Amino acid sequence: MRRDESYDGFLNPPGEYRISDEGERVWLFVRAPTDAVGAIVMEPYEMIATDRTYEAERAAKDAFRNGISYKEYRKQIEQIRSPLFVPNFTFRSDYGEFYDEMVSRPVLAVFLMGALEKWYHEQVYTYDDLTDDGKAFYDFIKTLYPGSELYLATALET
Amino acid sequence: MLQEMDAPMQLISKRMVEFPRQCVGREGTQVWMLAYAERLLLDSRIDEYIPLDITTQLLFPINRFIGLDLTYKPHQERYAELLKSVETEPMLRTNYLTAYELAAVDTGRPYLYISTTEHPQLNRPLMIVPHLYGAFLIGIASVSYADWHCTQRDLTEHGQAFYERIKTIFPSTKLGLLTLRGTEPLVPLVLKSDTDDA
Repeated sequence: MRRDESYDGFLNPPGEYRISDEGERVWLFVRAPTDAVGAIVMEPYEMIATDRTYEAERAAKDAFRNGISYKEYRKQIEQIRSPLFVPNFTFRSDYGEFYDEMVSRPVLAVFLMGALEKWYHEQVYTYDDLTDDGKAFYDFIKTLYPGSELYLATALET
Repeated sequence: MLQEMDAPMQLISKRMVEFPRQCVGREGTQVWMLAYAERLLLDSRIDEYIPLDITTQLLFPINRFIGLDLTYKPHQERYAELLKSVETEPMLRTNYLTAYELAAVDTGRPYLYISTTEHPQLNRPLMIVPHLYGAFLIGIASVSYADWHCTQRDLTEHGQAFYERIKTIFPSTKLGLLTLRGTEPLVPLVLKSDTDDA
């Protein structure tokens, strides 16, 4: 039975090694097959990447370390994330400023897959890093929303 | 009349919501299952262990709101009170809210309230649904229904099983069923190319 205080949910970190005391958050996004329906939600705070974009984002980061400009790096990141997240021109504060985080394209569902109080994963969570229950849940959601794309987004709690 | 969304693609593979048989218009209806982090809704339990940044939120313009099962009864009672108080004028000029919308605001906390966030293309206030572990679109229809909002009783067997499943994943999850007008996204997505500074 689940402990009352347990938020590890469906996560199965790849090892016992703890990278830091920052927490990890993993969100499941169900990207609608059309922009004509769904909810627009904010990108998770301090998101590292999604399982589908991690490799490309890491390559962009390497390119940044090797000399491309920050502007070019951000442009690459925006392009890589664009199937799910886009720069925010949708939500702004009552002071007239748009919030810094990106926003999702329309999603049919968004759900916290788990929250750990330490940072264990060197990369980002993928399907393989879910518990059996987590995989079963993921598989069910996938069949529930046919034609949709599923993303696992890993974020840090700082 | 067609009840289920007649989109070329089936968005949800299982029927989770039993919509009414009689419809009254073609505005469209959508139902979201909300998983609230209840401990964050209750100030009195704030000392309990809760990790940070574990929730998200939904935003939608107030004129899309039909009902939230958690607040529907007080909402309807407050609406009736307001209608009585204005009698011939259902539009309350203060805050540019209709009596129905004002009643929703008056009775929404802690589950939903008016947000200070704005949308550049909308001229109605946004309502915010805070403290969510998640949200799932569980029903969508291309028609609208008179005085209907989804409650647990309107869930099919599949819907009920899903409801029970979501309830058990995280501590102190409180579920809500949010019924909104229209089939379109909760707010329009604004892309960089739509803005003047593109």
